[in-house]
Amino acid sequence: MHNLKIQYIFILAAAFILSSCSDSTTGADDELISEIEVQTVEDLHAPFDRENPEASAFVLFNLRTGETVDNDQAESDNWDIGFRGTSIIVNSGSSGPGSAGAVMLDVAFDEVEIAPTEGYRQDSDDEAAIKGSGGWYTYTGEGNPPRAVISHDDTTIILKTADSKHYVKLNIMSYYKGNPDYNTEEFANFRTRPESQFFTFKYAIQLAEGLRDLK
Amino acid sequence: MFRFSTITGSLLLFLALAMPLNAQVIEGVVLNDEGKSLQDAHIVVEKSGLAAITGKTGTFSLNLGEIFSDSVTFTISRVGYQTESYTVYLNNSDERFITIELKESVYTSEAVVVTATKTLKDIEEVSLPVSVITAEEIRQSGSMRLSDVLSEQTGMQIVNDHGTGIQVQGFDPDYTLIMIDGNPVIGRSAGTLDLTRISVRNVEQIEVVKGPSSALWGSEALAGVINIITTGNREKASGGLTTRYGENNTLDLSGDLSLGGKGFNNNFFVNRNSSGGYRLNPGSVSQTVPEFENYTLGYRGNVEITERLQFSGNLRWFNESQENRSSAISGDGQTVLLNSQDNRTDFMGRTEINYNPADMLDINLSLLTSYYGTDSQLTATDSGEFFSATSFNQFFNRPELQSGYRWSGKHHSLAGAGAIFERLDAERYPSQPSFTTKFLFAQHSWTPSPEFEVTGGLRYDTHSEYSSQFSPKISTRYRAADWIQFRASAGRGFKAPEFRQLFLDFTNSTAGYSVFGSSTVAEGIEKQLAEGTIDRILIPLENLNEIRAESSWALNGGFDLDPFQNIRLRVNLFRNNVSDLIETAPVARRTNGQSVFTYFNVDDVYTQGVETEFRIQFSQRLRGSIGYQLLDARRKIERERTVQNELGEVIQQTDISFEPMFNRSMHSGNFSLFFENGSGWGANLRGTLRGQFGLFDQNGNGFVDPNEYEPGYMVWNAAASREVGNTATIQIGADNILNYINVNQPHLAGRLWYGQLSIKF
Repeated sequence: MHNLKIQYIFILAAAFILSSCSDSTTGADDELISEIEVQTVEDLHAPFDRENPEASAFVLFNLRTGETVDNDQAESDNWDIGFRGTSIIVNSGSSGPGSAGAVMLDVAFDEVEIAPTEGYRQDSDDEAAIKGSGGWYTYTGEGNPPRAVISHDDTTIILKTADSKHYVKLNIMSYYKGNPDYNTEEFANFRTRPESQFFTFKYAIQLAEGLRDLK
Repeated sequence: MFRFSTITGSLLLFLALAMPLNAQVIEGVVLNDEGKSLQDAHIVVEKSGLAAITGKTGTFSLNLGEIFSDSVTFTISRVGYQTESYTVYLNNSDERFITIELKESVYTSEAVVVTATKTLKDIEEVSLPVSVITAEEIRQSGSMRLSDVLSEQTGMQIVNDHGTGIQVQGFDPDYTLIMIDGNPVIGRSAGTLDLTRISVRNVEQIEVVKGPSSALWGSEALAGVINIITTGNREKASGGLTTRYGENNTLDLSGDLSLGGKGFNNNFFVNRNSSGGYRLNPGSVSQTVPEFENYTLGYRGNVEITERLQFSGNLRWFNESQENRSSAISGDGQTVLLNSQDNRTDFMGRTEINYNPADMLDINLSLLTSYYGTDSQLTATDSGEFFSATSFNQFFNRPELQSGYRWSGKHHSLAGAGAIFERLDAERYPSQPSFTTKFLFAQHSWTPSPEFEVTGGLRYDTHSEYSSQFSPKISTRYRAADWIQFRASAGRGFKAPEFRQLFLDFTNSTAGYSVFGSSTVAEGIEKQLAEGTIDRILIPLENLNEIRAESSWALNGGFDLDPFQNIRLRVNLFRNNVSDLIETAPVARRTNGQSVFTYFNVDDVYTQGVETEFRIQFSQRLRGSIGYQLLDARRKIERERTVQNELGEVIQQTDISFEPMFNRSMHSGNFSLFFENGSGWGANLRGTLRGQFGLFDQNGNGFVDPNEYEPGYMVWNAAASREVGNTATIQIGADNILNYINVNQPHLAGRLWYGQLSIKF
C-alpha cells in the first residue's frame, strides 16, 4: 500500500428502519441495520503525465475494502472509482464493466443524510459522471493562489458501488500532498507549493446492502 | 436646452423686479465685526412669521405690510455668529436703512463648502453629510498626492485595480466622482481614476460629499463626490516653495505664487514628483510601483470687470512618464524580457463668466475642455527591437449655463443646462466613437428658519448611447438644539456605462472569442454572420435591450452632536440599493466553439453601514480624532444547485441570496493626534485600520466564503515639524512606521522616512 494510509472509523448505528422505507426491496418483516463506515484516505498518488498520457493508468480504488486495486483487475467490479490527474472515473459505462454510478450534490458532506434512488450517471465517452472543473474543483487560473486546483467543501459525490449494492457519499478534500491550507504564501508560491495529484478524500459507505441511509 | 435656462433666468429676473415697493419696507445690511458683508443671515420679525435672508452683498429688504403701527423687533442670526435682536421705530424715517453688526460666536465652523449645493454655503448649514479636509491638515500630514490624504479619512478605503482608487460606502472607485474646482477629472482605467495623478500641494480644502449626488453632478456621482478646491482668491502677493525627499528616491518639489490686487488675482502652481519605485515581490520581473516622474502645472485666476461681472479661468496640465520591465512569450515560444515606457497626460481648461444682473440673481456661463491620453510602448530589453504599442485618447467638452436666484426671505433656486461632447481615439475602439450627453438640472432650497432647511433637486441626462437618466434628490436638516443637528437625505445616483461596455470591438486572435460593446454588438454579429463564423445566436438581436446606466437609490441620515464646545460626534447611517450593474454574458456561439459576448444589466448589490467620527480639542495645542465605519456590502447571487428533497431525491433549485463582496472590510477606522506647542514645534501621529476583507475567490462562486478572508492590518504614520523664523518649516516624518508590507496592497511601500522643507512668503 506504499504511501497510502487509511484510517478506519466505524460508526455503528442501530437505526430502526421503518418498513415503509424499505418495502420495495425487502420484506416488511426484515429490519436492516444501518452500519456506516467513515474513512479518510490521505495522499493517494494518482499521477498523470501530460507528455505520455498512455503510460499513466488510473489508480483504481475499492470503496468497499478501502484499498487500491491493481490495474490487471480493471475489467472486474473489484473497483468503484479511479483517479488520474484531475480526472475521476467510476466503474461503469465507458470506464469499466461494473454498474457504479454517481450523483453530484451541491451540499456539504455532513449534511447529506440519505442517497437518492435515481439520477446516478455513468461514464460515457462524452462526459464523465464526476465532473472535474466546476464540479469537484475550481481552477483558479490567473487568480490567487494562481493556477491551483481548489477542491470544493460543499460538493458531495453520492456513489453506487460497482456491484450496485452499496451507497457511498464522498468528498474530495485536496489535490495536493499533505492537504495544505490554500490561504498561505507557501501555497501561492509555485516553488513552495506541495506536489499535486495527491488526493485526500473522505467517504462514508453504508455497509447494509441496498440501504440508502448515509448518516 | 439653452432656451430652457434663458427662460428660467428671465423669469427669475422678472420676479425680482416685480417686488412690491410698499411704504413699510425696511432695508439694511449685515456685517461682521471686520465690516465684511455677511451672506445668508436670517432676519426674522417677532410674532409675525415674516423673514428675510441677506444676499451676496449682505443686504436685505423686509416688506412689513400694514401690520405694525409703531415699532418692530426682529432677530438676526447666522451660523457661526451670535444672534442679535434689533428694534426699529417706524415713525423714525432715518431708520429705514439699518446696519447690523454680528459678532463671531466662540464656536467657529470649519468651512464654507460648495460641493453639496453648487452654492457657497457654511458647512453647518448644509443638509448633506459633507466633510472637509483642510490645507492645514494636509500640510501637517506631509501628504503629497490625493491618495495619501484620502487614505486617512473615515469610511474611505484605498483599493488597487489599474491604479490607486478610493472605495466609498463600499462602492468600487468607479462610482465616486473626482473633481478639481468643480470640474470632473477624466481618464479612468478599468474604472479606477488613479488618485496619485493629483497633487495636493496647492489645495485650499478637499470637500467630500457621501451618498448619490447625480441630481447635481450627473454620472459617476453615485457613491459620492470628492471636490478638490485649489488655492485662489488671495488678495495679496504671496507664494511658497515645498520640497520633500524620502526613501525610494522619492522627490517632490512644489512652488506656488499668488499675485492679487483689487479686482483681480492670479495663482500659479508647479509640481514635480518622482520616485524610483519599489518592488514588493522580490522574484518578479516588474516593479510593483514603477519608476516614474511627473509634472503638474496649474493656473487659476479671475478678474472683476465690474462689481457685477467677473471672468475667471482655470488650467491644469499633468504629464507622467513611467518605466518598467515585463516579459512576454514571443512567437517562437521564447520568453522575451521587455522594457515598458508609459506616458500619460491630462489637461483641463475652463473659462467662466459670472454675471449678477440683480443683487439676488447669479448667472454663470462656463466652458470646460478636457483631454486624457496614454501611450505605452514595449521594446525588447536585449535588442531594443520594437515589440508593441498602444494608445488611448479621450476628449471631453462641456458648455454649461447655470443661474441662481435668492428669493427674498426663505427660498433659493438654482437651475442649469448643458451638454457634454466626448470622443475617443484608441486602437481598441476602431470606430473612433463620439457621443453626446445633454442635461438639465434644478434645485430649490427652502429655509423657513435658521434651524430648518429642505433642499430638493433633480437632473435629467439624455445620452446618445444609453437610456436617459432621471436623478432626483431631497435632503433636510434640523437643528433641534444648540448641541444637536439632524440631517437626512434620499436620492438616486447613476454611472454611465464605460467605453468598453458601449464600444468595444474585440476578437481574441488566439482563443477566438469576441467581445462587443452594447453599441457595437449588432454590427459585429452581422459582420460575423456574413463571414459565416456564427454557429448559433443565443439571444436574438431584436431582443437585446438598450443598455441602462448602473444606478442606485440611497438613504443617508445622521446627526452632529456637540455636547461640549470642544467635542463633536458625527454619525451617519447609509443604505444604497444598486441595480443594473453591468456584466458580460454570451449572446452567440461561434463555429469555432467559442462565444460572442456583450454587456448586460444583471447584477444587484446593496451596501449599508454606519459611519461615526469623534473629534476632540483637548486644549489649544492638542486635538485628536477617532473614526469608524461599519460596512455590510452584499451582491445578489443566484445559484443553480443540485440538492435533495425530503425523500432524498435529486432536485435542481435556484438559490437567491445576498452574499459578502470581495475587497470590502466590515470594520475600518482611523485615529489621529495633532500637537502644536504654540512656539513653532508640531507633531502628529495618525493610524488607519483596515479590518479583514475577502480578496481572492478561490472556489469561483462569486462571493466571499469564510475561509477567503485576508487578515486586516493597521498602518501608522507620524511627523514632527519645527518652524524656523517666520517663513520656513522643517518637517521629518515616516509613513507606515511599523513597516507593514503585503504584495496585495501595492500602494503601501513599507516604512518610508522623509524630510520636508517649506518656505512661505
